[in-house]
Amino acid sequence: MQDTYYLENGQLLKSQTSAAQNAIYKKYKDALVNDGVPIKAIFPGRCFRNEATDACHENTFFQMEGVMVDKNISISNLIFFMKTMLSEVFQKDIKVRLRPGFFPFVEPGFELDISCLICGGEGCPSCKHSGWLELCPCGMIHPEVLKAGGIDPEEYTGFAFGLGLTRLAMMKYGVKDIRDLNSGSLRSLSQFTDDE
Amino acid sequence: MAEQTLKLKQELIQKLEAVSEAMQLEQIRVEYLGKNGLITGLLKGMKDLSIEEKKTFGQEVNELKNEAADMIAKKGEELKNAEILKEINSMPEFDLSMPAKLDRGSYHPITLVQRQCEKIFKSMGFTVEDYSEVVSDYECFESLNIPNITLHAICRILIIWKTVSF
Ligand SMILES: [Zn+2]
Repeated sequence: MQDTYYLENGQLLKSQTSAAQNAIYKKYKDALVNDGVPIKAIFPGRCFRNEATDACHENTFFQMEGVMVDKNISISNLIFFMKTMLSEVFQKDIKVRLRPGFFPFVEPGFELDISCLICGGEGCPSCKHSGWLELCPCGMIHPEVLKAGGIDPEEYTGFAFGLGLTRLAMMKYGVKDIRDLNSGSLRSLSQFTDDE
Repeated sequence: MAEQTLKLKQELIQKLEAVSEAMQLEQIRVEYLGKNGLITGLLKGMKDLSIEEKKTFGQEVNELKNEAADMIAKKGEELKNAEILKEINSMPEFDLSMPAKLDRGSYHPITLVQRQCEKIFKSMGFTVEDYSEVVSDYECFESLNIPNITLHAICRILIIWKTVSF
């Protein structure tokens, strides 16, 4: 059961990096409106959820939020940036596809799948023979969310995605148990090296 | 009279051997070489001596005075060196000729992936923002079109980037 950690003063430990969206919009809206500078920002961070841990659940994990707001932003912009980023991270051509998904802060919302890293789309046990792996939710920023950030949704549109950095690291390095990542084991950490 | 000077000299040598602090050494210096010190005091017994004897004895006392001054100065030097040595020995040991340790450890896999993503997005004109880990209900829910707090329990299951829910 997912839940949020609340503090005694009513604040909470952010359960999603989306919590930074509002502040980002407010920070850059003037440059957007007055100077026509598109908002292009990512915000990586730690997230917390009060839930039982197992091989694929942790109460502490990393996400990376990304937003882009400008005139005439469409879902194809999102696909371009995600495809470019993933191909760089995995050092090979990655196919992506979108499936409809519901999240209150995007409309329309999507689940972004990538072609299976193991079989390349042929189908294997790792991708449950579908050829695709679920990677991250995304979509066009909901007009209400833009409005809350002080941006006129009649004039501007944008996309947002919430990439699971922890999940990405597990995929990239073949880590089977998420709990290993928070174990602090120097011996297992020393196996990972920078590509560069 | 020669035995008097000799005796005084022996005493001084013994006393100097026992000295371990600059303060003690200064006391001895005053005791022997001071204006009313022991060595000058030897001259007081001179008045009964013949002129020839006075001359010889005066020379002896003078020599003793010089010797004593030398011995005390030498002891002072020794004490100073011992002090410096003590300070050196109390310092942690470094061997500057040893090669530096180059054991650098390694980055956490999440750090590696995060940096890589940041680099890629930066190259495409994105800024990288930092943000607090403690936020308000407004930031985490209300501003994201999840208006009613009582709905959180339901919404939290539906939302929050469901597929990456770890
Ligand atoms: Zn596969």
